Amino acid sequence: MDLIPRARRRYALHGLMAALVIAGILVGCGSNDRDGAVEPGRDAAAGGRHALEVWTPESGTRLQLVQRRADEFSAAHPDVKVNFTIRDFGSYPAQLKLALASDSAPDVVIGNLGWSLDGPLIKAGQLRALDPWATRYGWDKRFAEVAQRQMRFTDDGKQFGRGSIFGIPYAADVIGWFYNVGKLKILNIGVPATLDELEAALGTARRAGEVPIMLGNRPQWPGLHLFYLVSGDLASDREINGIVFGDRSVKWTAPSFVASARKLAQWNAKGYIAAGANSMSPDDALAKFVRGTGVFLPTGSWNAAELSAAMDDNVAFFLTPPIRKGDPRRATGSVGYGWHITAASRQADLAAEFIDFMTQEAFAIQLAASGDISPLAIGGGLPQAPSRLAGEIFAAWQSVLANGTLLPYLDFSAPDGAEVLYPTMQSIIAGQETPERGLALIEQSRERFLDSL
Amino acid sequence: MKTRRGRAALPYLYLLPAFLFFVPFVLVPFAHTVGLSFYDWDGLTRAAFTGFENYREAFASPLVRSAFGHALVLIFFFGVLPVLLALPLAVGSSRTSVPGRNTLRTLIFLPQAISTVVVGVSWGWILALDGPINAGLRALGLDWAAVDWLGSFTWALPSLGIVGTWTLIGLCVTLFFAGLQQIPVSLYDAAAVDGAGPWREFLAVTLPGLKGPIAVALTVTVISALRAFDLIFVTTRGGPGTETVVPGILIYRRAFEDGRLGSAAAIAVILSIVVFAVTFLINRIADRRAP
Repeated sequence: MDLIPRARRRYALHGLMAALVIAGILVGCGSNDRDGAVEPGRDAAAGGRHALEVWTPESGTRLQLVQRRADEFSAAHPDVKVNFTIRDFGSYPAQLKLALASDSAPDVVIGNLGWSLDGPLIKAGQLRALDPWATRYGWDKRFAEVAQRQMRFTDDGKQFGRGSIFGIPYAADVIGWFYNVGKLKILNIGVPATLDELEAALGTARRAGEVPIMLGNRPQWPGLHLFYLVSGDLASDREINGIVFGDRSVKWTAPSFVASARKLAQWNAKGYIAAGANSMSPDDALAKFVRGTGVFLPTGSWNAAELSAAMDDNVAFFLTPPIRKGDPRRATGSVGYGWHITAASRQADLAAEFIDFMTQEAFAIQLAASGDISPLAIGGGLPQAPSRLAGEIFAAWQSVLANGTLLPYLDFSAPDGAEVLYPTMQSIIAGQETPERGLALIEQSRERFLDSL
Repeated sequence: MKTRRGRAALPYLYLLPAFLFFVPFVLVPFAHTVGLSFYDWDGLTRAAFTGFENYREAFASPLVRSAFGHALVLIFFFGVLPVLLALPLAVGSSRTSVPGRNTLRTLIFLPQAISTVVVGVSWGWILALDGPINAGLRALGLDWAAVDWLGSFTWALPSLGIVGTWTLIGLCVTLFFAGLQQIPVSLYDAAAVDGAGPWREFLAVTLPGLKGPIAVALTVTVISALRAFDLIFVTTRGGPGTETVVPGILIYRRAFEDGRLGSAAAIAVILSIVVFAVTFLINRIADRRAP
């Protein structure tokens, strides 16, 4: 039954839609006022107790270490109180953006490397270039050159890898191969010293009925981590850095990347990669590896603590071996997300002092003692590593820093990895897409992003 | 004294309470989304008005188009299939007295009461390569048929569809069963007197009598197919490759991961229009078939 005649109802509908569109445009214009430029902060007047507002998405052991170090800072500065705001990693970026745009912006915040968070925040003028303090505290000398590149952005936030130092990192990560020590012994395989030896080991494992590579690729990025392990050998420094840091003369379609992608597809076709990898979560893959399925587990150093707790000395680690025996190993890793000073902070000098304290060698040593790695190249005087595995990862990481062979994560090249890069790489590995066509698609999306800057 | 105008305003007065909620929680956010869709905005820096560019990009993008294509496939599994399967179930269980009928009905409805996240995680295990479905297939000697359902470029989307069918069939059965109670027994008597067999009776009495519930069931299930997000986010995240990417996944990624709020808003608006259009169509068809 119609309470309102049909024709009138239609007019009402048209009117409503028109009102919606107009209201929408007005609301949209509202967001136009959201200007990123924030008045440069002044340092708080002396006297009284200062509260330093700090934001972090950290959790677990790292969070405990960070908070303990912050307590030490407060102990050394009785007039300073450090207030932490802790948000889970997933919702952190969105919440941080809101906090920075509010009237009560924090002083010190953790960002995230590249375009996912740091780039947009710098572009919006919400983070400070740290150069004056970098000179004062020697940050520009504290970190290896390869590490510093990941800390730099141009002041307009449009170029990653050059320009001013914007973030000071404190905890690092590196991608490599964990392996089941007992299985390698049974299969009579030595720890591979070249890429060929690694491939031969995969073949031997497969013929013996083992799962050569345990991989949980459901979230799609783990497949790209496998790609890092191969492209680190096949592609040049210039190519990998070029992709990440916006060098347009380098393209994803370069022969070295095509060859890397093709190798992964071949590995998959030969049955080297765990069946069911595409529907398996990384956690499940790790659990299977712990229970004895899989000879190699390619993943990041952040899994070390869990693996050594579950497998003791039956798990070990190496970086992808070089093509030519004895060459320095190259590895993808990051110096981790850094501490930033917000543009809105009125106590930037104090914030810088805090950041300096939080990233000194003393903290790096505390981190190492927990089985973690830091962006600092540390000489001697290290405490005993908590496990053999932690010791191996620490040594591998230090060699990469010392040799200058650290490579940045290729997915730092654009923020839309989840939409194009990860799924396309998964399709290439599965043989659903040719390396040439897939990489062309990935390059297209990277160029679209570079154009949008 | 009641005036003519007063009486005309009365229905609006009844609508007012609902409207008071509807405006701030539905209309205003929707208007905001429509507005955003005309801008290029990363959520932080100055938004730039770009007119219909976000819409042009959405229509030109093979990924966005395939996402809507996948949503259409899901309409079949979430809407058409549950309705087709629920009809005989509801009619059968209302006509015959099977022992344990109510228990059965409760069991069929149960998936509807479980949170989608739990459904997703459970089906993730059930459909895994070493999960119970494949174990069953292997036990039957059908080893060749055991596949990594959610990791397969061919089977992932239909597998998710079947999960949707399983979830929504109970809702349809319940709606139809309620509808069947409304059909006057005299109509069945008349049909019997006219010598109609069970099939004829179903077509002449039951189906027209269930027109309303079928329209409701289709509306609800089709909307849930179009806005599917949680099940896919929990199980496949749009993979393998882009085989299970649906508009909801794209909206989430662009808005909350890539910082492309305008583009996300445009896809959301297109999705809303599709939802409006499809539900309008379903109800128009149901209206036209009115006896």
